[in-house]
Formats: sequence, structure tokens, C-alpha cells
Amino acid sequence: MGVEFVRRARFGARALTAYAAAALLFQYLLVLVFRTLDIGALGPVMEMLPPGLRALLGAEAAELLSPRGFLALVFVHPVMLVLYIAFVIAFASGALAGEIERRSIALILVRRVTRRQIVGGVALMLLLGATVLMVLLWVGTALWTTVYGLGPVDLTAFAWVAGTGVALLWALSGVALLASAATSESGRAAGLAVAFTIAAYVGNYLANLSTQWRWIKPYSVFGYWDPQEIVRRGTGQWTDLYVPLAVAAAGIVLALIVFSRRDVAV
Amino acid sequence: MPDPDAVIETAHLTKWYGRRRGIEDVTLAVSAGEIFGFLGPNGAGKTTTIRCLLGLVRPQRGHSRLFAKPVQRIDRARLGVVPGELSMFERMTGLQLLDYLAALTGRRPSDRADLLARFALGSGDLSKPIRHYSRGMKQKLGIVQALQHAPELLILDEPTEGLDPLMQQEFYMLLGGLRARGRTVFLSSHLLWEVERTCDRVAIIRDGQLVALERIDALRARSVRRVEVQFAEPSEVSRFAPPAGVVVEQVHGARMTLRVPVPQIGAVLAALAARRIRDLVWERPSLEDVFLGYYREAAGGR
Repeated sequence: MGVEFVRRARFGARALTAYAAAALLFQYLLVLVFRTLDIGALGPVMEMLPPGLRALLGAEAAELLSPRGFLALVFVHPVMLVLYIAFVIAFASGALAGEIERRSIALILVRRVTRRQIVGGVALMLLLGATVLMVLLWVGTALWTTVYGLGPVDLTAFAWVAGTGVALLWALSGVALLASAATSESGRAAGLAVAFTIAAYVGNYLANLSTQWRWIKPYSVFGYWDPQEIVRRGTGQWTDLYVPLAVAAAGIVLALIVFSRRDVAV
Repeated sequence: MPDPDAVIETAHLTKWYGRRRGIEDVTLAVSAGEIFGFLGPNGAGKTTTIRCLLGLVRPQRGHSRLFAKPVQRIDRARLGVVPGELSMFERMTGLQLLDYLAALTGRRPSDRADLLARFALGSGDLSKPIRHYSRGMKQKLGIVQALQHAPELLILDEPTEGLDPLMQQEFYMLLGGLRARGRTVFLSSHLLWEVERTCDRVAIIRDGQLVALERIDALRARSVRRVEVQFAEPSEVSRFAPPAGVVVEQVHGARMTLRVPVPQIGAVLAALAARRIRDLVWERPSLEDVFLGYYREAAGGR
């Protein structure tokens, strides 16, 4: 399995470097934007934002115009979400379904490596990649805070933000891995994972928008990802880790079972 | 009863992909040291049989064994495989791929240097990413990766696809060497002449079912050659008496087309030697000709 993981890690590292660089650059740009904002003038504007937009920004719990609130917003900015979710889905769907589609997996499956080891290698790379992305964003937060004198910012609270972010990305990794293990085309695997992600995101958005839809929140993995609430309270909740991690574990276990039993007609 | 000497054994293998037929009731055994041809047109079920052998797909009925064990339980280092429609990790260089697959196999690639020399793959080629390889180079690399660790059993799915004639010759010589070393080879092909010249025994599959399983010499005896004779003048045509078993398919002026069973070749040559002829063309029989022969036989037996 070691050899197989090293190959995937080599391939994944290139993609991960690109995604991480883009995420850090975007974080840096947002910090620059924040430094140019006229906070005093923007306060009343924020109050006038329509509820739909406020739900999108997570503004109900946030002090958006404070450094910590703004830095927390960076983590859930739609562009940032797309960046790190794209890594997870692209890597997962390209790894199993993509290799079946390209037929290159035949060369591996006829050798001394079990299907479980193959899925395990992909899962490990996904979990590491997701962790690296979030750790880098936390490092970026610490770096820009120091360099530009933004503060006060509680980096322990941001460690919670990164930790729950890792849990969310692991959950999405589990789902993307399952989709990839069950299909034979990378496009279909990615489509399934994207559909799940969008459904979960929209569900959480609706739950934030109106009390009528609040019941959806526990059923969405995004319901356990609230960086602004964490920085406001200074700490996170363990359920924000447990639930996404349970989803991740379920996804990975199912992927192991499905891939071990399915036909790989290459 | 399982054959204790069989390196490959299948019994009643049946695989359907939903409503689409894969194979039905395929039963065969390949002994150690044998070069076994698996012949059939495209879509006949050759690749599905190989997928079942390798455990890539699960048959709905029947079973297969390699080295008298289910494929999941064998030491896969004993196996070398050239998959059909070979596809590789295009970003790797040739050398990286060979190293990676050797490491996955867990056996020293003892035969690699010899194979690379045979197939004219130099260090310059191996240092290039595979995406820059031609079809033939990829196929050569595919053969090297399958054989580099000196496996006891080789399963080759149309291994000469994309090889130029020179490299095909090299491959056939390689098969001869493997036979001499006692290796077992399962060679899938849709080329009758390829199987004829390299294999000891052959199974013929069509529409997912085995239609024949016999020794190559028996197959050869059954096969028919089409011969086109251009006589010096039309009157020679009427003077030519075809030997028994030879069918005159067509006569056009001074040109005659014959269907000659292989055992009758000598008699036909003798008969032709007595006539004045301008040209003579012997055609290799197509796989369809062989199938037609089998079908005629089956119909006649009913």
C-alpha cells in the first residue's frame, strides 16, 4: 500500500499545492480589502443588508466589520468554499472512477494490492489534503494578523475554526470517495458529490434564512461549520467535529465495501 | 473434478452485464507450460473471460481458479498481465511506471533489461512521460511491465495490438523463449494466424460461448486456405482436375478460386504443377472462415 499511496500523494501534492496557493492568495486579497474598508461608514450599510444576503454571510452571528469576524468570513467565503471543495471532489472522483474510466486501474488491480488498500490510499490522501488546506488557512490567519497588526484575534478560536473545517472537508471527502467507488466515470462521480454538496449547502442556507427551515440544519454537514459563531464565542462545540467525522467515517467504510464488491470492467 | 495440473481452470463461467451478454458457460483448463490461445472476434467474450480470471468482475455462475486457488487467494507476483486496450498513467515516465509496478508486484524485475533490449526501449524513451509515447511504444512498455518480474503465468489480452511487424516477430520469439522456460501463457487474440503460429492449444469463443477447444494441429487440419490461380490461358482451367475435398469457388476467364483444406495442399500443388500457371495467391483463412467451417460441421452433424 505504501508504494500505491506514494504515487497518489505525488499526484495529489501537485494539485494540493495549486489549491493551497490559490486559497492563501485569496485570503491575502480579502485581508487587503478589509484594510481599505471604512468601518464607520459600513456599519449602517451592513444593518441594511437583506436577510438572504446576511444568511449567506453568516452575518447574524458575526461581527463582520471586526478583524476576527472578517477573518472568520474568509473561511466561509463562497470562492474559498469552491476552492477547497473542488480539491476534495476532483481528487476523489479522479482517483477511483477516473482510473476506471481511463482503464489504468487494471495495471494495479492485477498486482499485490487489495481493493481496500487502494481505497484506503485515496482516503488517506484526501484526509491529509483537507487537513493541509485548513492548517494553511489558519497559518495565513496568524500571518496576516501579525504582519498587518489586525487584532485582537484569538488564534485558539481560529484553531477551532480550522478543526471544524477539516471535519467538514473530511465529511465531503467521504461522500466524494463513495461516489467515486460506486461509479465508473469521473464526471458522474464528481456530479454526485457536487449534488450532495450543493444540497447540503442550500439546506443550511435555508435553515439560516428562516426559522421555518431551521429543522434542516442538523441534517446538513454545513450546519456544523460556523466559523463566525466560533470566533464570537471563542470556542467550538464538539458536535461540530463528531457529526461531520461520523459522516466521513460512514462514507469511507461504505466506499471500502462498495469498491471491494463491485465489478471493475476494465 | 478440478485438474491438479491446471494453472488456469474455469467451470461454467457465466457473466452478464445487466441485459448484455458477456460469456455463458465457459469451461476450460490450461496446463502448466502450455501456450494457450483464446481466439474470437471482437466482442465475443474474450476480455470478459479474462476479467473473470483476474477477479475484476464476478461471474453470476461458475468459478475460475489460478494455480488451483481462487484468484483472490493467489500470490499475484506469479502473474503477469497485459490488459486489453492498454492504458497507463500518462504523467509518469516509462521508467517510473516500470519501477512503480515492480514495487507493487513485490518481485525484483529480473528480466527487465533483457526485455527493454528486445523491444528497443532505450533510456531516452524511458525518461519521457508516457503521454508522449506512440501507441506501439505503450504496447511495448505494457509487455515489459507484465514480464519484467518473470511471472509463472502470463495473461495477455491482444498483446500485439499496435506493434509493428518487426516487434510482433520479436514478441513471437519471446513467446517461444517462455515456452522453453516452462511458463504458462494465456493469449487472447482475434488473429487466427497469430494463435496458429504461437500456441499449443486453442479455445474459440463466439457470442460468449466456447465453440471449440482443441490442439492447434487439429485446428490447422480443419482450416481451409483460399487459393487464387491465374492460369496461362482459359483452356488450362478446364484441364485442371481439383483433388478430392477441394472446392472450386469461382471461375472467371483464366482465373480460378479454390478452397483447399490444409491436408490437401500437397495434392493441389501437384495438380497445379502439371498445368501452366501465371500466378498463384494463397490467402490466410479468416477467423470467419474457421467459424463457418465449425458451423457447417455442426449443421451437418444435426
